[in-house]
Amino acid sequence: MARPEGKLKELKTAELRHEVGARSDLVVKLNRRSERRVIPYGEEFLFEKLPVGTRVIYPPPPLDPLADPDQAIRYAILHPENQDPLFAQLSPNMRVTIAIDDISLPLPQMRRPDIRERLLNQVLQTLADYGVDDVHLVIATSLHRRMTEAEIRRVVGERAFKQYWPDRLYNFDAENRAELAMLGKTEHGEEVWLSRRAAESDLLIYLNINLVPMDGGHKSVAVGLAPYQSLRHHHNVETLRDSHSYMDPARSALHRSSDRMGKLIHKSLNIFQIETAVNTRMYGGMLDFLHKNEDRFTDWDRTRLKGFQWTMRNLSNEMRRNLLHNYAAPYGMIGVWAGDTEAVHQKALARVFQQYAVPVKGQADILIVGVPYICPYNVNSIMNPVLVQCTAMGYLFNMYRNKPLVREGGTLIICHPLRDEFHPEHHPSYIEFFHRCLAETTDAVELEKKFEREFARNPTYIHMYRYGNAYHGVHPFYMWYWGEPARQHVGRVIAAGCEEPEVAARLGWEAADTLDEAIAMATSEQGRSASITYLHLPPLVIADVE
Amino acid sequence: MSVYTHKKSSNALAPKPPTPSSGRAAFYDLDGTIVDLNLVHAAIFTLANVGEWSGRVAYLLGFAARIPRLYVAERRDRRLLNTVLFEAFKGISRDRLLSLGEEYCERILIGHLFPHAVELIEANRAAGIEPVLVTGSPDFIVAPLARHLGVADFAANRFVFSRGRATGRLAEPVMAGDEKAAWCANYAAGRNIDLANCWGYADSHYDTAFLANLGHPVAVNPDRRLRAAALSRQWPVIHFESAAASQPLGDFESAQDPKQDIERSTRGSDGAA
Repeated sequence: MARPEGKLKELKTAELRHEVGARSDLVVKLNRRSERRVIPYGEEFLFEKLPVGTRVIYPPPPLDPLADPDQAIRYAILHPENQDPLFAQLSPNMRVTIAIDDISLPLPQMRRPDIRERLLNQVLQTLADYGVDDVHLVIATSLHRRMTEAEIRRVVGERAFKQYWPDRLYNFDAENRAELAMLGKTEHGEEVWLSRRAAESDLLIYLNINLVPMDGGHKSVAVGLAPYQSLRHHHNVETLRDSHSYMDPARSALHRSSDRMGKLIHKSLNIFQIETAVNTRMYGGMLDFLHKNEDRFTDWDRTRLKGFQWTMRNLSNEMRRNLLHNYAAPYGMIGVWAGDTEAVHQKALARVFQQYAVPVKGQADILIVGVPYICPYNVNSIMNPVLVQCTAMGYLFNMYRNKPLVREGGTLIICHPLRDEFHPEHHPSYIEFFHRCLAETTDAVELEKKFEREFARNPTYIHMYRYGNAYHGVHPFYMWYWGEPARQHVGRVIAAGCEEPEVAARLGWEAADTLDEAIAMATSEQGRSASITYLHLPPLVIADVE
Repeated sequence: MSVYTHKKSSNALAPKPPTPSSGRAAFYDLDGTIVDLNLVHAAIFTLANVGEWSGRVAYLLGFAARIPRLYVAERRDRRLLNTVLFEAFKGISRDRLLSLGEEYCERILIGHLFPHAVELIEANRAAGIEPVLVTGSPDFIVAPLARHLGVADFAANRFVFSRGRATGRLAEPVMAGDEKAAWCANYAAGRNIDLANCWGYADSHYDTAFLANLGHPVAVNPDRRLRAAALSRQWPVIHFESAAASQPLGDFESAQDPKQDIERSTRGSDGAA
């Protein structure tokens, strides 16, 4: 049986287009005649003229999706990496747990059928064929919010939902002490805790989606099914400061720690990991112009952009949010691998970098990023200021290998309206974190020492996490720590288009009314010859900075 | 200031000296917040069981006659609602109210406690946050419930009695709206508690002032207007479900000591390690 991805080899043009070295056209230097650029700005998009000489980095075009994803999944399960095929590992009386990535992936949510539904249908069929009845499906939420019934149904599909919900399909609960097991300590003294159901299973199957290289690998199980007691060993200031970057697992202390934990877990558990990768087709249909180089915009593209801007401007915040969060991306699956976690992840990583990596020469003095309406932690929710910080400084700043896109001491310009707005059911502890903790200090070490434990053990926040749909009380701290490498690296952060300057001040940033003003503020310090880079979104891109 | 401190053997309704402070407190409204019943239900139960059939009918008819006024009062002012509602109790003896309060609590109220609310009270208590009930319900109903929950202090509405019978008037302060906030402030001042460290849980927009007075307000199953206030003031919103609707998810323990966490879970994980 031929491996479906093998067919891509025949697509000479596409293959050439996706050689990392052949992507020089993805880095564009603007001149006087250059078109304005589309910049994400919360629930809107700006269309702004950037200074002459600005370097714009575009994501690579989407790789061609697998022609028959279901066949590819079947092939992967039958031909796993460094393990026996799934069917050969099954026996009727065994206990199997299937862990599934939660709603934080992919972004935005993908069109149905979701990849996880495709994976589940095939895995469940195999289990049924071999008489395995004791099967539980666990959404690997870790300290994320519980997914709602409707969200779970959408992700796993009708078949699995009808058969397993709610008794055998549920969200992981990191605060149910009876359902946690401690597996031991790593050589670095990190305590490894895991879902008891998973730990006591004969076989744990993990279904993953890799949107960026940060995802997958040992991190899937060691983080997704782990409670605070485990996470605090790598989701802390010291570890995250030593991660350069999160998107480069080889140079990330966060990944080294989760790898150590994952290896320990592997000693006591049999894990069959299934990883998938998706292409960068984030927007399609009427919004496909968002992927384009603006210099190639047609009149129709400009009309659509203006129409989109007008619509967004004239809708209420809530309607805008609903409209955008209901949008489903036409992502295509570009690879699926199964078997041993490390072997599988290596292949998935290679494919993900093939999709995302763009070679870039040298760092810039000023980096411009636009923060969109969505990040992993506000699906169907509000992008609050702490999450804006995490998205800009934690994710977008870290979209590099080798060196950051902005030089040390440089300026980071973040385009977002930055409103003092929080979701009271999803992000209750964020509100207190922002208004109480950040009012006192923005120093991550001090925040960690003084407040983390109080929030992690706060009964009301724990209650809202367990029974409501709230992120865990400690989660805003992790979001703040996530931005720590950027805070250590850049000299100045300016929020462009900031509607509430006091919010920017609370985050330790400066505020500018417009992007032009922000650039003027940055160049007044960096000099008029300062180099400027704009990291174009959507979709995502990872800069290989030489 | 009317602080009630629960004591096992003596008259639960008499004001007692303040208990020692733990430094933090959680103030809970009762109706709609920790139980899925309201004041009117308690009133109807009491009036329907107050004495002979003839007496019951008379009281219930009196209550029915008040319904239009109650409706208007509910729309306008919670204090007025309490005043109008409790006028219907005029003439009932104190000992009968006490026994009906016990009965109502035992037969009805306890069964209607939100299970997750009880868990939260316990978790807060384990975290050193002492529970206090602050409610517009009458004290003869709140006292047995407080005893059941192990809540030492509560504030509730008290009837004025004359010759052992209710006069239909409420003793000041009437627990509604701003009075709840004032009571909490006095309570905290008397115990050297900083309200900024206190939590408050309530369900009605009439409790907005009560919640706003506390450092950690939480809207529980909020009505439309409290939800709007919570959104604009950025208060967390929590939903409790009734016993029938909620599914137990397992043991809820809120340990303060990380070592305890680890020991507890390690003991439980022997089989898997």
